[in-house]
Amino acid sequence: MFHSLQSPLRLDLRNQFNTLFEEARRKDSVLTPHPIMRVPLDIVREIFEAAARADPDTPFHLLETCMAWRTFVLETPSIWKNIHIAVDNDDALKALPAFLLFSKTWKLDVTIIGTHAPESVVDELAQAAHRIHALDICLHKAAREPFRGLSSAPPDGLCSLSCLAVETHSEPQIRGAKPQTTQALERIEQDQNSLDGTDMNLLQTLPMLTSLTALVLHDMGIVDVPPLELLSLKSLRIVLRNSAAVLQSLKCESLQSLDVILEDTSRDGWWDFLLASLVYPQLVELSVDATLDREEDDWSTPWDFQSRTRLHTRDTISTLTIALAFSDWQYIWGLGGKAEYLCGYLLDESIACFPYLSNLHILHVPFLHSPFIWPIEQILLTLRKLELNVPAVVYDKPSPVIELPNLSELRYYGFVSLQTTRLPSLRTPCLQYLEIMHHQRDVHPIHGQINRYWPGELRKSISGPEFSTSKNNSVKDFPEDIEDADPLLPIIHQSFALQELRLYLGDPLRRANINFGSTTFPVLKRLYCSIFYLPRIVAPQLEELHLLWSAKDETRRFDGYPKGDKAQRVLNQLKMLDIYSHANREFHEVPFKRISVEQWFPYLTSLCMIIFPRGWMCIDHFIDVLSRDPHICPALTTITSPTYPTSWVSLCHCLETRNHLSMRDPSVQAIHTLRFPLAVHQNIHGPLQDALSGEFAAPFVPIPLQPWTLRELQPQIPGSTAHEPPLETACFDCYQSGNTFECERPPIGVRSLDCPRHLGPLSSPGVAITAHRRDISGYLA
Amino acid sequence: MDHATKVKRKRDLMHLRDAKEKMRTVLLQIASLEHSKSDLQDSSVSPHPTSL
Repeated sequence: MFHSLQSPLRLDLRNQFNTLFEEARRKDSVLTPHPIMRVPLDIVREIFEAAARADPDTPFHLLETCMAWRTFVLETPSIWKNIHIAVDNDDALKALPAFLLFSKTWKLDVTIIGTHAPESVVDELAQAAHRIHALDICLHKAAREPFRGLSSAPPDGLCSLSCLAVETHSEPQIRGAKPQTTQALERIEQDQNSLDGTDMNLLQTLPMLTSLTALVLHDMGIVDVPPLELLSLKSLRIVLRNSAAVLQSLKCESLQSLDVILEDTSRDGWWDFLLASLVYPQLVELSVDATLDREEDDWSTPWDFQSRTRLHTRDTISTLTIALAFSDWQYIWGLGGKAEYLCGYLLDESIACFPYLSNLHILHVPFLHSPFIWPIEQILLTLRKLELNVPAVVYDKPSPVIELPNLSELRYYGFVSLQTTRLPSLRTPCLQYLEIMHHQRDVHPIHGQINRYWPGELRKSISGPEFSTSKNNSVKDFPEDIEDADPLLPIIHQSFALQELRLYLGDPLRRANINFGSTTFPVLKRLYCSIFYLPRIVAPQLEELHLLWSAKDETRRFDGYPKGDKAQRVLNQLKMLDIYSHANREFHEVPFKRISVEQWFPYLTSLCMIIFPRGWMCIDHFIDVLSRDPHICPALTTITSPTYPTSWVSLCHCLETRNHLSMRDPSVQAIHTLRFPLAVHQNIHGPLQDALSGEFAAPFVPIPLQPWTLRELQPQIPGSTAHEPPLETACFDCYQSGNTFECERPPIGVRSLDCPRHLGPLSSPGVAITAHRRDISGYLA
Repeated sequence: MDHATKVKRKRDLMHLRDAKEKMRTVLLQIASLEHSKSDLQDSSVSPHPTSL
């Protein structure tokens, strides 16, 4: 096909078309200018500012668009106020003077990220220190130095600073990662990434400071922390070690949000922290993430907290987050099978003293299951958002029905079976968002960012006999039998107001798992679930479907799913289909048999966006099907593929065919956006952008030193129909993208042949190739 | 809208219509070439034409 298109007649016709298309587009842009050309400048400015916040390179891209935008951008300082300095990137450093110049006198939001900030960067910024409104420093080393340098810059230092963050730049935690240990904190201090007494004095000189995020303000050696007044501070996020001494010395009359990571603490330290945090009169949001030092207390005996000062009731606090774990991330059964006690009564009391809680998150509270810390009735009435991360498999007895009449969001991460969860007891008539993630291990299929509470360990089993007062292993017993548990999960089949449902119940063939019957959700828009449960969900307004996978049998069900009328109705109305929505590969490692998406395509008549899986060569199947029938998925405009196609030429050709069809037939949309994990070489990007824009693509040109990337262009091996195979030193995705120079493929023989750039979970939505002009549907009709 | 602008707009519209007509013709020519080629290579018939 490709070679046939190179015949002189075809080339001539293609060139003719492109010339005419350019001419028509020029006329069209005069007659019906793009909507943004008619939008008031204030709104354009707002859009550009939002784009600049999202991507620091935005001003430079806008400069290159047209003369009108160039002039507007250069004359609008607010578009230049977001400065992102990647200190390890020379290009980012070169851009700094332009941002400082064109932002004129505007207040600046500055981010410094990377290994170590060179003095030249701090010196350059010092000229505009008085304009800095927000300063976010995230460095491997000496993170506090830029703050100190800019604070002393003449004439007034950081006199306008409102938000300050000083943090250690690090990779996200992976499976098995521990919470920040003493050693980690010491390293942070050695690397000068924490604030100390010097910095605290500097903080007091910042009259506008309203938000502070910092690491380890308190050193264990300091006994008497000098009083610190930060009267404008509204938001504080700090890491403390062992005690809340810094907090006790802090005077913040305006503080509304307090988020503390309390490392290596004892029971007393935790209690003192709670007492100290309740003195702030304006506090609305309280979050404490404590790691407990096993050497500090005897955790196998209940704690007599009755003799302590009681916590005062606080009406202002509406959001509470509590996370607890031992510093070594272990749960130990002592001699004689004694469990480790955490602060059961304390949790009970701390939750009860906030009667107007609307948002409660109980994260990773080991050996404490919800029966022992269930909120009082007043809170049940007001609660709107609830998150429970249950780190143990607790064999609980059924409990009375618990009504949460106003709850709108519920997230439950734990081991879900009839005997191990209180979910069957919950009634949530107003629930709009439900997420139930069942797994024996503490992993999450999608959200890698909550790893802090997901250490990748197995959930330990706890049963009634083990966790009872008779064995002195508990301060409370499991509740007596109340009624038989509902074999189905009422929270699913009685929550009729759900708009979003995320459901992972594990291998559906395991009988112990909780189940649910066929249910109609009248307003459900977004659904994450396995293909096994999909037929039981009737959702006449469903727009987004994200498939989760857990068992080999599901691939067979996937192939056969579109055969039923009900399934076809679901597929007909979908606007977005994400075939394999696991971002986290740890979630399961089942090598599934190949699926065939082909049967699904005829029914996806409303689909605008499709996200293919990494494997199964789905993008190649799609190219094949679209080449044969360009009418399929007539509403489709955007394709995301975590892997690259085997043939770029085939992809380009089917896009041309589809988009030229859409010009004649208004019922068929043009495909205008392709998204891949990383940027592709310009020799690939250019022709694809032509095809997406509605033109005939310029011919592909081989990439120097990487001929295998576009191997269709290479001469065939003599005596064979095959082309020269690619070198084996790069992974498929790297050589296919034309970017082999950064490939770190493991040696041949290692099980996975992908390099780390393509192996790990996608941390971003990828890199898009978009059309110059998107509205070509029906252009020639 | 003054008279001169109206005239210019009308002229632009005519040019646009003309360009579109020519584009349509060229696309049809390309489509017929594609068809003749694919008919020779493959006798299977798609439920829809593969091109315009």
